[in-house]
Amino acid sequence: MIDDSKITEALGRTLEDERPGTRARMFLPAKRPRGRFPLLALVAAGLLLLLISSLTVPVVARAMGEVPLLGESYRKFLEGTGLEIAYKSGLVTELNRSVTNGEVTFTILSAYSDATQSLVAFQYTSEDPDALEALWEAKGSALFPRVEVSSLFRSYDFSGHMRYIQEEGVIYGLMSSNPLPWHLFGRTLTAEIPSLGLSLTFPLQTVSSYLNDRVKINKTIAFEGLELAIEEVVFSPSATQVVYSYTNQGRVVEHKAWNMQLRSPEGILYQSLTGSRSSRFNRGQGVMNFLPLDQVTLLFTGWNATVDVGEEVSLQEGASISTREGEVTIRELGWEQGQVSFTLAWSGTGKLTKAGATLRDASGVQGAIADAVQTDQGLRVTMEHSQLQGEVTLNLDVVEISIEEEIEVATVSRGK
Amino acid sequence: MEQIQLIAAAKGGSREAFLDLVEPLEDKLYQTALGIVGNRHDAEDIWQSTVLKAWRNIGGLRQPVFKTWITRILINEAKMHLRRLGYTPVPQEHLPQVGVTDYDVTTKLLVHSCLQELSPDQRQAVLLRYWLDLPLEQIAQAMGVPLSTAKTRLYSGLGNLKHRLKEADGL
Repeated sequence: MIDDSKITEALGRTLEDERPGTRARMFLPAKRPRGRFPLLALVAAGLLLLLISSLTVPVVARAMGEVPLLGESYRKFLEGTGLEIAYKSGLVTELNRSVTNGEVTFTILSAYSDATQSLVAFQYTSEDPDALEALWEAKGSALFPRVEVSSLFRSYDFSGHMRYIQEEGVIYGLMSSNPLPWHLFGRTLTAEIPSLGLSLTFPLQTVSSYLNDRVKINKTIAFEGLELAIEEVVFSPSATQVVYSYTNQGRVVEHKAWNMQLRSPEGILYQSLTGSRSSRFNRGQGVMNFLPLDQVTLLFTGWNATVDVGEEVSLQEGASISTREGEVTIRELGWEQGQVSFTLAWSGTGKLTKAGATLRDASGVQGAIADAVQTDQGLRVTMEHSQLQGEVTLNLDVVEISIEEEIEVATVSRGK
Repeated sequence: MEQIQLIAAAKGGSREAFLDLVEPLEDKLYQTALGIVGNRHDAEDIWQSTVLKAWRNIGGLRQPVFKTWITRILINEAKMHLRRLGYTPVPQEHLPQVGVTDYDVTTKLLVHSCLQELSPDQRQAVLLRYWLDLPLEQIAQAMGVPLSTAKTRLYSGLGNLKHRLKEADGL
């Protein structure tokens, strides 16, 4: 017969080692709301308070749980990343798991995941600073860990960057991937550095789904042959993410990229942290990450295309170069001591916003672009040279064309 | 500070007082949620929503015992969660596999399996009694049922659990 004390003992065996991933102190809002308040709005309000305070008042940020003092250089390394935001929101648990191959120690500092991204911070250190420097110079990108995650429908590759801080004798790195799918009992990953023969297993901490919010948009805009479908906006502690797919109805232009911005209720415009987006294929899908916000208006702001030219033309008034997208014509040519200015007029769709060009004379003397400013007539270019003589040739390597537009797609809020 | 004073301070908006009430119960509440739903992800959600709801509603606390009151919120959250998902017993292959070296993992899985085979009401009653150490009257309050109903759920749950553990050998 099993007595009652055995029941407690039996329950203890299955439960007593378990701990919540996030302590109440980390996620409890500063103020108790009066009256009924939507749960998500409560959490979002707390996070927004932390975010605004931490971004504008460094002293407050220090009190609320800043990036741990592994060094000012680590804090600076993380500046502007989603992981910095997550640290300041008290959502990151330090791991500090290490493995050594004798000369160098590889440490996973933290591993964080929410609905918009998975982020892993790491470092290399050595008791011999010279050895670390030599390693950095010898191995370079081969030091970047490989973390492979496979699921039934897709694989997840971690990419990122590293920085060697010579004065502190440390190499910091940050890698990110698309958010990893939820795993029933959390996830354990393995980072491998084949060039050093190192391998390190670590747990990935996933924040509660209550801290994330998905808002369906399902709106399509058509612009210059591009059909862009905004599927949803995902709000997470580390980012606001726009999920999209696209189809090119017209001819695909090489190196063509479109852009989106977010506008806050205060009218502040936010650029994507992950840059403009290529639509070089007939169709595709992807995400754009922005700083975490609670209410945003999505703005499609047009596209730009890089057109490879690679042609030469005599630097004369009216001389022109034809490209697949349009014609570039030299206008308003003016010579001064040590420099020459001219306007590149564009005949195709959009505006000429950038140009890559050099000047050359018969003896091979060269000049390079010193300044380029957009005017109503085109791109006003100033090039510096040293004593060009005789017939001068303009070698136009590449131009960038932009079509600016502001299309309001939707206004969305976390919790709605 | 005594619990009554902490409750008064928390009602007045003191975050620290509220945390002083919650923090001693953190692990047990989370473990109870885990025992009810059987997986860490859902237990984490339930644990966090319990704390947030408790913080929002502490102004309405009338009971002298904070533990019973917050346990009731946890039970309700767990119930809503199970209702949303549709009650599904946790398959044995998905049982917790934390890298614990001090215990026999087989026994851990076994106990968890037996617990999950109980109905949610029986499971809750057993956990509240043998894990959270609540007396019967407080179990009834936490579950929002009459005392007699709480007794029935507890004793039938206990009987079923003992039977399963005995059948499984070693306990």
